[in-house]
Amino acid sequence: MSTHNDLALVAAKMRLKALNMALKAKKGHVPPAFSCMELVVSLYHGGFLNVDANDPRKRKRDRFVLSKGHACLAQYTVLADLGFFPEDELDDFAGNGSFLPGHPDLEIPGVEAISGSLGHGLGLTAGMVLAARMNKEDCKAVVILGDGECQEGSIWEAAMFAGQQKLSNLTAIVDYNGLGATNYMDKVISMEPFADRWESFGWDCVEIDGHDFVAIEKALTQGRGQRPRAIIARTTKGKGVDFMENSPKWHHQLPQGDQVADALSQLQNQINNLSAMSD
Amino acid sequence: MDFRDALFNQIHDLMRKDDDVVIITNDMGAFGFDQISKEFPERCVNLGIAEQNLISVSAGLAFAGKKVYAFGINSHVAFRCFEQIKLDMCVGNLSIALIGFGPGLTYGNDGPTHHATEDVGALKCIPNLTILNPCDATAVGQSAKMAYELGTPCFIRLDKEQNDPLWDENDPCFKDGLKLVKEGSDTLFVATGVSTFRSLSAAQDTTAAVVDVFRLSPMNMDVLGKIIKEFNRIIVVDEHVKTGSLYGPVCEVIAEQGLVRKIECVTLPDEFLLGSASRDWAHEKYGFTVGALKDRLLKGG
Repeated sequence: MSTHNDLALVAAKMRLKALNMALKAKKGHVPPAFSCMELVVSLYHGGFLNVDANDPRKRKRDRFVLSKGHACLAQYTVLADLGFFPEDELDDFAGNGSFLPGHPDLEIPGVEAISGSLGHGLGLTAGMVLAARMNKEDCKAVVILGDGECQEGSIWEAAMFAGQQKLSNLTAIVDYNGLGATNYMDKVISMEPFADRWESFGWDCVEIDGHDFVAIEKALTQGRGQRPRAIIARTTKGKGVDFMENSPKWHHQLPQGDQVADALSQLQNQINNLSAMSD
Repeated sequence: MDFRDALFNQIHDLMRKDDDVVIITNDMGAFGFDQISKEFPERCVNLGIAEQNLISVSAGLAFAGKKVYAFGINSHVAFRCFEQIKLDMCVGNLSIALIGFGPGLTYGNDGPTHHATEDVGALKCIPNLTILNPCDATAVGQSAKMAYELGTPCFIRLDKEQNDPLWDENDPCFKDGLKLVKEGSDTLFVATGVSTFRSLSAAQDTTAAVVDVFRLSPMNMDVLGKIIKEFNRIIVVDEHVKTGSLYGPVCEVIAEQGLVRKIECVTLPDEFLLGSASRDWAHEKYGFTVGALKDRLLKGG
């Protein structure tokens, strides 16, 4: 089990890798990946998920679906870092013939479902834990949803179902960065009262700082009852690069000109600072 | 035997043999489902009126190793959840048999919300999806069995009109996906589902032949071509809008194999059938009745 500082260092390194991948490919949704980076790192490097890089399809395993598939840079970097596939594959992100497209698909070791069209992941993971329950296996499933994705009706079909079925091994983490593709959520369709909504659908819901590893770990593990758990993770879109943070302009835009060196420098400094703390 | 009984009996048998077989519905009532639920409550799921979730949950179950039978009303489970069928079910090439109750104009007077007259055209574009349109109870049972054996996505259209069976349980033609159900010369009806029986009746006491197409996709173009080339005149009868109907593959096989034939079709027009219309009334209007087909046949090409 890694310390929380170790996890923060991993997240910083993954952000730098992700940005370099996107810069090379000249495409990629960097800010949405940065907002959920701590969540993804916590699930994998933090040890919550029972998965095996050497046997990604082993029968008794936990399942993770990144339903907001446009944030795949977070998952790709983490999977490569853990050895699910060679790290040099990241260099060909979104290249012609690459097996790492701009949204996750099933050819990627460690990816459990194709995602990218929003609104599918909660129902998929509900089915996965339902199968585990039928098999009397203690397997978990976790899905990361975008907050904007929760505007999809299919999310609430699945939420009703999981609540009714008391799928206690299901965790839905909402990356609540407050921004959709073009604007702030509350200027388009507000999700509030968000926690009340989940609870009224039969879920147990906790709200946390989605960049705080201590809070993420507690939210994943503590006080679990018979209900599925929703974690509303308050995050900052573009976290780690100040000019990208919490701005409607930054969804799939990439740094240009001087912004490139600035962004890379900010991320490298975070790595340096965290490395110094680890020493 | 009733079509539903044939379907649920087969699924029930499979569930007794294989603990991984599950059945799931979007709150569609069915006696056979209730019977299975009594024996296997934990493997029978009613997830409420939520077609998108029906497919996503089915896919989640199948990703985890289950062999899923999902059912609901044909028009609803083909269209409301089209993207879930494409992405969740078919990209993963999962063992899910989606069963649509009431293809074509089965639910005639219930109106266009319940007509499934464009579903095959829409669904057959999706890679990995096998589409079966059994015309009798024997073929229904075999459809469910075939879906299990294939272990890949299937869409099964479940009609309810009872007729004398044309297919045998061990019919070798199941592997071809189509069967010459009446020999003949000169004119060939190419039909599917209820249209096969209309065509058969029209062809009675004539030299016209009839082929029943059981597997609509992927179409067996080789066998279809071999049958077609023996005839001068082809009449396609399919209770589906023309676009996406059997007319398409028949034209393709004629064009691709260089067969020059006179071809006609009896399909629904590419428009919505608004208002209240029974299946029989619509068949009268659009030339599907036995009398209209016989007139067309005898009128000659």
